[in-house]
Amino acid sequence: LYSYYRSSCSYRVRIALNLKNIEYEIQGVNLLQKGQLTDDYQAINPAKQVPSLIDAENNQTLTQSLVILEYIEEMFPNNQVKLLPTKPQERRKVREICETIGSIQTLQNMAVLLHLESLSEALPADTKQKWAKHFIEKGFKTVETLLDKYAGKFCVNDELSLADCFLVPQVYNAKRYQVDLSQFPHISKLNDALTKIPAFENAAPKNQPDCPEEMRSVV
Amino acid sequence: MAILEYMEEQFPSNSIKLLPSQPEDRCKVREICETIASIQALQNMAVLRHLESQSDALPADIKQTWAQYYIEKGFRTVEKLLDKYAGKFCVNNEVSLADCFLVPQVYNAKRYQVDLSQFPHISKLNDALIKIPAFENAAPKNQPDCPDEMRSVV
Repeated sequence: LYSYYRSSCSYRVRIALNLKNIEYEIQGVNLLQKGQLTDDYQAINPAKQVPSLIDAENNQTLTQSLVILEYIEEMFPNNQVKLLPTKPQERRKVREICETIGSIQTLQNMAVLLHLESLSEALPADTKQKWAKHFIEKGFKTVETLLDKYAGKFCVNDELSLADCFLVPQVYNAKRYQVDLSQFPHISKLNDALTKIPAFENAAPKNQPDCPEEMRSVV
Repeated sequence: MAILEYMEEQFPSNSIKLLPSQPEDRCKVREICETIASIQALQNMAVLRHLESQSDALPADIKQTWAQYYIEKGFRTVEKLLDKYAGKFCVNNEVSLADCFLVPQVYNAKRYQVDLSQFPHISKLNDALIKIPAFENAAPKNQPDCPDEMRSVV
């Protein structure tokens, strides 16, 4: 798994692989040092993003976190937990939450924030922070409404799913941009419960092999 | 995407299958869909208006420039994927969800004056797809809520 410790998209896949008890090796891609822009990495991921998953046994190279997660679920439906319900109506709910969260991340990832900042020197110093916060809050309002309708013990009913794999990393991002999570009681409560699960804990940024020592206590 | 996956699951045998059977081909279709979805998330009108509102110091054409930037960036990726995956359609020789995503994004690209000649696979596929009645009937100008005065411009 090509992963960056702090990448929320990589974090989603780490959680799912842990939940499914699938063994994997992390290849750290250092985004701060433009590791994603090398020719070698571009050959693996044409979008030049993380994560990418190499399934050597089946000769597959996969990109896009939701694509990877759907693949893992199709290839290993019986490992430990089912991460997609059986009924189409319930699967749709899981995907709806995933896509909603996916859109948040697309708008607040570092590449977009840096591009935004580069548009004009006249932009205020806190533009990146405010933009990220705006889109996380906007998206979380939607997620909160969906959870109000769908959640039980977990995001959708009472079984773990891909939606939970998407939620925790996005809450991590929200905290990074100082979003006040008390506005989102369903999200907060679910995140508190989920982060205690070992599969989620082990996937956390601070527990990654490519997390720098000095960052372990701050991320 | 949630709606399309649902429709495909509820009606797998209606007319055509929009997702292949093999996991690796399903991945290819989804990869194109997710790539295009990310483009749209970044260039939709709500985002452009929020961008514009950031500062009076931003140039007058900022919405256009931003939309063009992200469409071109995303289309460079899509072009590479199509180079690997496309046959008669986006993935191999069967119509799929990827084709459903491509045509509307090309529509958006034209709206923001993206030069599509940079993207030969995308251009060629779009030209072939829009001739298909299902795609033509879905076009903005053929919608019941399209205002009369817009029918010739959209």
